[in-house]
Amino acid sequence: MSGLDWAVLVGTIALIVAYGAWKTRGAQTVGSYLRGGSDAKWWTIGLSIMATQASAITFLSTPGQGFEDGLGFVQFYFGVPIAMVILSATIVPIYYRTRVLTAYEYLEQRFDLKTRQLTALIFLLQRGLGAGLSIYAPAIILSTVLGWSLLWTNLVIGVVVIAYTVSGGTRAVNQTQQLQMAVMLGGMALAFGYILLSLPPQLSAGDALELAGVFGKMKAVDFEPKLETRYTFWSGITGGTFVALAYFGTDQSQVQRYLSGETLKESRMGLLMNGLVKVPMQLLILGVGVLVFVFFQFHARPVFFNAPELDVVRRSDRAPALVALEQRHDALFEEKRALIDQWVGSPQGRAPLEQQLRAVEDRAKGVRAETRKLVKEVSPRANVKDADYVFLTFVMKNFPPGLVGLLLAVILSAAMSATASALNALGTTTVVDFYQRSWRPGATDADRVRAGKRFTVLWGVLAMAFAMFAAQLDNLIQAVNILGSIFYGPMLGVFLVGFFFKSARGTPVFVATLAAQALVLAAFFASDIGFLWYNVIGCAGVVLFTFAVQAVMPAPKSWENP
Amino acid sequence: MAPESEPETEGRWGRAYGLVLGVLALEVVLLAWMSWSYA
Repeated sequence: MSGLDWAVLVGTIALIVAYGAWKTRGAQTVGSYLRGGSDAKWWTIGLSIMATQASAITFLSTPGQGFEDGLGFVQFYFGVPIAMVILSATIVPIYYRTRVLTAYEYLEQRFDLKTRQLTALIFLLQRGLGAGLSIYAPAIILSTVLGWSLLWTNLVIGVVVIAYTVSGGTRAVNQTQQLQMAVMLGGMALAFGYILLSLPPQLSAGDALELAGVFGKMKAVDFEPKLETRYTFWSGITGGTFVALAYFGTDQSQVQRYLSGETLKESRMGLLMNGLVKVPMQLLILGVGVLVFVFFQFHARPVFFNAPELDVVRRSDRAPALVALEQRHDALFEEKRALIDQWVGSPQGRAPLEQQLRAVEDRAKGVRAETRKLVKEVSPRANVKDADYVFLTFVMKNFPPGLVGLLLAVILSAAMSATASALNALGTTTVVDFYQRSWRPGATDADRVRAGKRFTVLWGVLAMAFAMFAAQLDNLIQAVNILGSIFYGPMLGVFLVGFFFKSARGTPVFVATLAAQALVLAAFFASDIGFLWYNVIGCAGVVLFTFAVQAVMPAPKSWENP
Repeated sequence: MAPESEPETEGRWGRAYGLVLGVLALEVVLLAWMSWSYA
């Protein structure tokens, strides 16, 4: 990395943190610390919501997914605009009317304390792990590709985030996220433009898309109703809507963003802004991956993107096998390159060439599969899914000085914005739903702010500890989404029952939540159902079990004590 | 978290929701067309 890259990277991060600290200077009350002062405008809320969801994994894994599987992952986000409309019309006005600080606080007003604290506990567990992953995921990739120390990368991300989240609370998180989002969107748009300009001059933008299409990368929408296919139009608008409803409607790290709005109108507009921008933004990021794929049709790509793992093989006695695989891969690249030159030069009569191209690509895929097997044979614990390494490896090798630093700033900004929202929400939920409710009911405002800061530090330290010991996961973004889907369905179910079924009572809902959670875990461990469907199963499970339990359980004599 | 500064008409929000869902429908149609034409 050049001096210019370091200057851009450190300068961008320092500027963002300094801006957040400056905007949140002065004394803090519970209102300003936990709720952000209740003066956020819709654009602050919208950007903050987007920055909370956009973790570093978004910018590392998503281009990798575009590179490997094309645009199909965008279907996962079709549910977001639908969920934004449903939330704006139904749940957000209820949160405003009941003046709650956390989503779970509402559940005590509607049901009882045990339901509130069960859901708050599920949130703490799930988001605590998520916060660890949001530090760990970029740290492992940055340390592998750049040779940075994993320990120090974890520590730097964690400590900087803890510092500004603890000092400025919700307001600092919202303010810094505006700049972080600007860096992320600007950086990715520049990356998209730069890769487009790096393609051979004889290849028009239309040709680039057509070439990507030859290899199936342009298939953004799949209307075939198949339960086993992870991303289809149907799983996107059903499972995707459920996961978005649960995530944006019941996950405190998101609820806290829009509860900081000046009015209900600002909060709704912030959510709708997210609904409008999300699909194009994900398409841009996936598109970067597809363009990287096109780039590698003209420049030789490594047979395996995780270079340090490949070096382990190179130093072993299996090195000759690797050299043979690399030679076969290079020969196939030359063969494909010659066919692509013909393809570019003959706009008519491309169909037979396309068949040959796909056949050569299939053989190259076979060589890459053999390479993965070899890597696994030499180091059985190696992560052989190298998709997460594609984009960063590409950036480091092909981007000019300055742009490399900016892209690293994008990744670190994303890591920090997602982690900051998580820690902020974990601290707030611990204070509001446990500390002031059960542990210290007589706590003063100052006590609560102090407790908020201490719990945020505690969660930050736990997240860093988890990040340091986390085992390698197959594909990081999917791991996070799967983790979310296991817990989100039942969580959404509780809220839906609360909002829409007036006759539902506390204890049956509590029992139903536990049963539905067990059902989702059974589906996870003992079935092949795509993970997006867990949201539907968990949510429907809570609704059905609530009425089943209520049917066999006599209603209490007094409605005040359900 | 102040109350609404002025009463919101449901019609205005209905149009805003329609806009968001309409844009989504347009995106799906465009992406489906793209998937089909580059297949």
